[in-house]
Amino acid sequence: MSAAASMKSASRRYLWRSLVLMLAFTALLVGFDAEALGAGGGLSLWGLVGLTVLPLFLFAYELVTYIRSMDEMMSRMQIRAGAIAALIVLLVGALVGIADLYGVMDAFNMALLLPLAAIVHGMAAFWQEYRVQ
Amino acid sequence: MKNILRDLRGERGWSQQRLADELDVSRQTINALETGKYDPSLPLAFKIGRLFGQPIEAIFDDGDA
Repeated sequence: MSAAASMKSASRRYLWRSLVLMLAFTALLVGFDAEALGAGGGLSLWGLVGLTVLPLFLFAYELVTYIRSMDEMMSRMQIRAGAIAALIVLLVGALVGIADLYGVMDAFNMALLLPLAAIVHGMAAFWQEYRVQ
Repeated sequence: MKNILRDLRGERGWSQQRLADELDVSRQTINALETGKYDPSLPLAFKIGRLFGQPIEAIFDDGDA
């Protein structure tokens, strides 16, 4: 299989697996809402936390496998895009945290940082690819 | 880093895709190499040198020579 064909197949596999994992993650977040968590005991909460975090670990594993399947330039581009996304999410998180601390804005649901990270990562990856075209 | 990859590929009448297949990388990587937007790793540079039967320094010029 050529590099292009194997990368296409790896991309397809990564995309549908990521979609399934993110849907599972969202479903778990919605399922274990604050009311449900409030009803549980201290020990059982850790089980719920573990269950919620599991899709993220699997996603990280998929991401690493995906990046390893690429050639060196494409993987470097993806890593750079990931670093840009992480930086922006950290900046937004810090700004929102400070704004919340000083009462400038209402508390922000940090779970929303995940879709923000996905969008920023997508845009950064697109920009990286555009630069080498 | 400047290189003569495009010329070497042209001499053989290969497309970027053909060269990408020979080197087991993507076509985008070949394009980025040829336009000097990406410098290859040492293993890839050796692979390119072996493919064209030339030493690395004959293909790539870091401008320090």
